[in-house]
Amino acid sequence: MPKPLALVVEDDPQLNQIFTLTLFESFEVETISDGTQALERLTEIVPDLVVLDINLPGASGAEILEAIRANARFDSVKVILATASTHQAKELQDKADIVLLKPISPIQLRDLAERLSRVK
Amino acid sequence: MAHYYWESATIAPVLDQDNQVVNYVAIKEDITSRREVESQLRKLSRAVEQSGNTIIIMDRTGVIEYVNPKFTEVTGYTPEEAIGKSPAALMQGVETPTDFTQDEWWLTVNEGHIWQGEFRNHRKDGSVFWESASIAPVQSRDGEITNFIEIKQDVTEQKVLQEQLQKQNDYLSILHQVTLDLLDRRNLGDLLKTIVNHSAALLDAPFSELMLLDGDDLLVRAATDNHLEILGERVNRQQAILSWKAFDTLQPVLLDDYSAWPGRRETYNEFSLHAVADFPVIAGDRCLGILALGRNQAEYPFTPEQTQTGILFARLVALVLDNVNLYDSAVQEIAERERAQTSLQRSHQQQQVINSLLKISLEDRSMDEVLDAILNEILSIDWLTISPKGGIFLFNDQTNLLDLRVHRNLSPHLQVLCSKVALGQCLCGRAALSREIQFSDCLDDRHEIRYDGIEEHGHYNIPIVQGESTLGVIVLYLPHGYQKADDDLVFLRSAADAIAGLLRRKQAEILLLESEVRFRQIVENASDIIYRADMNGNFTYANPSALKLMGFTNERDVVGKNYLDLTTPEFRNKLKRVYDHQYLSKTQSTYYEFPAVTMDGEVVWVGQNVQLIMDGDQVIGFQAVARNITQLKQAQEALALSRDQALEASRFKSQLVSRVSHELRTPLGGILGYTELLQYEAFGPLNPAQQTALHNIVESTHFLTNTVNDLLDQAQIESKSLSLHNTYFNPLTLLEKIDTTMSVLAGKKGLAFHTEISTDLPGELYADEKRLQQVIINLAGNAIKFTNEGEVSVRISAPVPAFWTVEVRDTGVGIPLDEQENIFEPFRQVSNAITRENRGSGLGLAIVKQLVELMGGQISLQSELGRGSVFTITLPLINAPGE
Repeated sequence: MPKPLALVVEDDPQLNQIFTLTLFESFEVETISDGTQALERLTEIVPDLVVLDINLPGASGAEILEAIRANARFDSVKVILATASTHQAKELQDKADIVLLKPISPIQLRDLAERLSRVK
Repeated sequence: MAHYYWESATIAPVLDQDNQVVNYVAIKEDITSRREVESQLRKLSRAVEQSGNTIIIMDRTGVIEYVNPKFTEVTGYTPEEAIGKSPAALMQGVETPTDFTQDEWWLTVNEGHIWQGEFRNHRKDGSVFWESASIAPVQSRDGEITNFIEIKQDVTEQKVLQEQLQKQNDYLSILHQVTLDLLDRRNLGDLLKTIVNHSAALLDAPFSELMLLDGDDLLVRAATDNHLEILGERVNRQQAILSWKAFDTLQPVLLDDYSAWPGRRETYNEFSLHAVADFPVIAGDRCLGILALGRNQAEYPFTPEQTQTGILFARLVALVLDNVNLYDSAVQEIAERERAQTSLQRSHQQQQVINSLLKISLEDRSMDEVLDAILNEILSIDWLTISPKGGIFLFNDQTNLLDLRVHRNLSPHLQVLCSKVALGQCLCGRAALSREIQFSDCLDDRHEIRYDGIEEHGHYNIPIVQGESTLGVIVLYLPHGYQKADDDLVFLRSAADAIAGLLRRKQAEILLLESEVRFRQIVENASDIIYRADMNGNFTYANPSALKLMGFTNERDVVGKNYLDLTTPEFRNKLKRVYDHQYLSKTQSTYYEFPAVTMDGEVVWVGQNVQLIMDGDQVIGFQAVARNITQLKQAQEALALSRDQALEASRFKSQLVSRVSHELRTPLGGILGYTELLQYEAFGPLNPAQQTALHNIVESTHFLTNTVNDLLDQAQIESKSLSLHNTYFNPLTLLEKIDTTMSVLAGKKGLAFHTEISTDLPGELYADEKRLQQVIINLAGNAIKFTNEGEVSVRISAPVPAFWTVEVRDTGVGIPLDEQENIFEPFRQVSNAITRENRGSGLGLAIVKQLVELMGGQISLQSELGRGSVFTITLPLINAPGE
């Protein structure tokens, strides 16, 4: 059985690497550090999980989340929002499956991601 | 026919030497004529025997020789009893001497004339009767009187009628006399005297006295001259039994022999009273007194007629006394009227004085001049016989002493000694303290202030009192032994009242004047612009500040100028609108700020209070107090600016903190991420020392993360940008979440962790669940941090209506009392319990408190050192808006 696909959208390369390292055991991980690129990529793929930063170059995390929720194609997509802003966290918590406030514990993230992806 | 003659023979024996009768000598006298007379007499008498007249024949010596049967019928004496006695001896008895030889009738008849007249005689039974008698001599032929014949008729009835008539006349005459006396009465004593004298005469009783009721006694008011010593004597019921009996029964009381009566009064012993009569003097149905009469003649009782007369006379007395009462009351009325007149006159005089006193107050004088005038006025009253000496004190409420303000003719000693007098000291002090007029007629003990050689005198010390306060005291001098007069006191009191009013007015006037002066000084010296304007807005007054602002030097220069000239041309319409509105709406007071132009052309801001000047309900002008508020305005502007800046700064700080925290979170994520990855040997196996190091890095990262979170919260609360997101939530779920999180932490320290939810709590609560959770976790986290053994518990309940509480309890170190009150302030941490492990940002409790308050609740703390702490959050039970 192929691993589920996780799309990590995070412009900070370190966090990008951490998320990848965190998830690679359970997920097929694809990383993108630009919002616009992420949107483009999402026209091609339907990931099982999106780990989404909000402050991104190009399109923002919020726009990406909006796009995902607006498209029935992504109905099964789980979104973990990773943000450094409590404000944003509050605003978007209804649309995301889980909102994690940075700094994010990799252990926690993996745990949550695995649990989410099992829920179909 | 043989002629006989009568001889009277006297035969005498002739005796010898041996006294033997030797012969008889007969002397014969022819008595034929005498026998004839006698025979004639008897014939005559037989003729008159039937006539119903009493006939007595007396011999030449007046001795009764014959009485007819009528005599016996009338007198009760038999012929045998009568014959041989003179009629006088028989029937005049004790009343007149029996020697009748000098009586008129005897002399008359012995001269051979007939006597006619009346006798008052006694019958055998002692009763009195009157006879009309005609006594004639009987003469022999040779003219010798041989007998007297008395022919009598009983005229008692006529006589009694006549006596009654006489008495009636006497009574009328006395009545008349008494009435005249009454009319001509000089005094009651004279009248009463007249009454007793008349009654004595009328009732033939020499002792008469009149007693009138006086209180519970009878008082002897008048007596005849024979016992005047009785006058003024009071007799009670025991002393004068008869009089009181008459008084009580309203009937006359008679006694025939007072001297023999056991109840007699010893006072009367010397008069040997026999018959007495006490007549009640009755007016209406009321007894006024007793008219008592007495006789010293034995066996002379009062007859029924006399008694009747006494009763009538007593009635007259009552009438007279009644009249006297009327008269007396008239006299009294007149006397009272006179008194009233006098007192009216006095009160008129007093009123004049008081008017003069009041006039003093109308004159524009200083207080001392007023007092001087008052003293003058009082001392010059001619009907007040006081010495021309005195003074007036005023009470000084600063020193609590009486100050002698004005005086007249006081000795130099007293001018000094009395210049200040304490309350209660000497007579003036006493008057001031007691607020009562003090009177003395000599230098008594109260006169404490004195000096050697002080002259004897008295005083009136009159307090001047208004309401509850004593304004002062007037001291007047009196001659030694002066008699206090009620009139004086009444007058002095009313004068003092008038003076009190006068002084009050004067004081008020002075205060008013002072306050006017003060007010004017204030207005003139005020830096405020003060002016008045008429209803057209033209100045009527401007104070120097106002003049200065407008560039004038004299008040006259502004009169006629308009207040609108004060402001800049472009502001005039606006200003006019404001004050037209005030004028039309009659708004009493307004405040308005506007730019004013000074004489230098400088624009200054003034804040102006304007009051309407009213006359009744008509606005007649404005009064304005304006102040240069340029600096204030500038300060306000500066303040507003700095406030804006502060707000801006605060917003900036908030943004900064928000930004910083955001910027910190990302690298923190890196640190935490890599460290955890290392810990889980994502980069290869680690030795224990490396693991420990990584653990410490993670701990520090968590601490730093918490600090960042707290800072952000604090910044948001401070900048008011933190808002609550209330939703309905299940408290049980919340508690479960907390339990899950905290149990792990507590377990790590070997502590028990309990949660409890009370059944009285609603199934759903409306609140910001996240924030609530943050608060509870913070408190529970603290509790775990500061507890080394025992347990931590969280309990949610609703102990009082409309509120619910969260109680976080631990068995930890506790918080010292002196730190409890500061525990909720930022960056305060309990000194006794901070370790490297449990340190925090120092903001936790401060944020908790602010969040709780933001939620409309309160947080409180009970803690005991070494035993543990309880934090209690009380929150209102609320519903979502619109529900």
